[in-house]
Amino acid sequence: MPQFEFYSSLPYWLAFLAVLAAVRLLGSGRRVRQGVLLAASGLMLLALPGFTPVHLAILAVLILLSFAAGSLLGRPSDPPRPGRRLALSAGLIAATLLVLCFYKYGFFQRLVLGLPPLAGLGTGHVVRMVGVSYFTFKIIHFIVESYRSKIEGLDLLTYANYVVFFPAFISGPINRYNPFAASLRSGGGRSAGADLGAGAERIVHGLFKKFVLVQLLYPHILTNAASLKDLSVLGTIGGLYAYAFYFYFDFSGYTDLAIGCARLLGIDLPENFNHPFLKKNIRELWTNWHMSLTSWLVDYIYWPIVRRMRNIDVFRSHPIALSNAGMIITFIVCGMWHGEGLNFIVWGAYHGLGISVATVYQRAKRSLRSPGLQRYFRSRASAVVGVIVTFNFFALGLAFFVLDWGRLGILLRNLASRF
Amino acid sequence: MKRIAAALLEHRKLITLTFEIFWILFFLLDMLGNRSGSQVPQFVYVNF
Repeated sequence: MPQFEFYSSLPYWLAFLAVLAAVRLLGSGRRVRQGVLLAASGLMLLALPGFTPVHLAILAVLILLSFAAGSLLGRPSDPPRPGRRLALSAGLIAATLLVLCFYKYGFFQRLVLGLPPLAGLGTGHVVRMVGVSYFTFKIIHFIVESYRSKIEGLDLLTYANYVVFFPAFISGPINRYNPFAASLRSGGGRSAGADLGAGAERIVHGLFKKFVLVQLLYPHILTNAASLKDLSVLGTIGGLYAYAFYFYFDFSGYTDLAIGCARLLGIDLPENFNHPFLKKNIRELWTNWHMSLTSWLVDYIYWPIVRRMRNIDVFRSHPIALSNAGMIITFIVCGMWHGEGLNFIVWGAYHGLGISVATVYQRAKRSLRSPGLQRYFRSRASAVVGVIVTFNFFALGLAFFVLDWGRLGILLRNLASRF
Repeated sequence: MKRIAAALLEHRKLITLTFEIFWILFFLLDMLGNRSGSQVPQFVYVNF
């Protein structure tokens, strides 16, 4: 089986054109089209470096188990009793999380395999599985919405396509089942010409970001500095600024390519970015950065936590504290999802705290009586200051994201010695 | 001047796409011609 990276290799595009032709020309009937797409997705995944038939088999088992659970939960006649519904959903979610933790966290993997632990988090992986962070979140979404009886038009072929849809498999967007199913059934309700035009345009934007802008920024990012020990303060800030833009263009470029390829196939995927670096506070930035992940975290982490914690007296009487506590916990989970090291947890907490401060600040602004200050807050100057402060908060926080504890220590000691 | 600006605005999508396609081809050809140079870095967000 030939192996190639998605989007950044010529073999991928040749294979994609073959898939596009097959789906558009052979898939005249809805079921045939879905079958062709599913087969194509399976073959494309097997072409990913490191993705083996064993991975595909694990995916197939998860799909079948979660589909069976979803069918049972959504059964209109003779549905399971409430206690059994909860047990079934919780069991499947736990199994999915076990798969995620096994492939994501080296220390957990070694524990399960009975291997001795290695020093330091982020080490010790015996085997990885590309896309695991994304498809597990899609499956958990499906199980929760099945429990809530919100799933529409469930069938195995559609659900399997939803989980393994190859344009969005490796890095999202983390789409939701109902809009995907509707899109798959109707083909977007547009002409092939409209899809081809819009999809191709989106792909050009993605290729420009990936092959031009990322290439220009890559040599200047912090992690490519010759030595962290000799980096000046300005060099550090410049390296982090470059990383912030590199990160944005790389990921939003990938998203453009995923959305564009999906559109060529007649499928709509949700947007992931909406000019995040032009937002006036960190809360708005996160509502417009990796939007599919943020909305997933809000729906399945933040709101369940807040609803539970509302029963605690101190939080019932202090709703802002409740919201902030929920946000900090949610973003710690966000950090853990991004990587195994302690630095990711610190990065998540950093953003949770930042959003909490922004929430308190926004509330405090509204209570200020001074007409001059209120005029300033509504002015363009205030918006510009907000954008600059927000970007700096995000960019400087990337130090926790891109550097492990050891290298962060070297950098901070170097910077401290210069003052 | 105003007519040029209006024409540019009317055709901004075409201009943007032409600009992007030109530079994509330029960088791709540069990469092909300079095989010993830097490769396309893997996507940051290939998240395992």
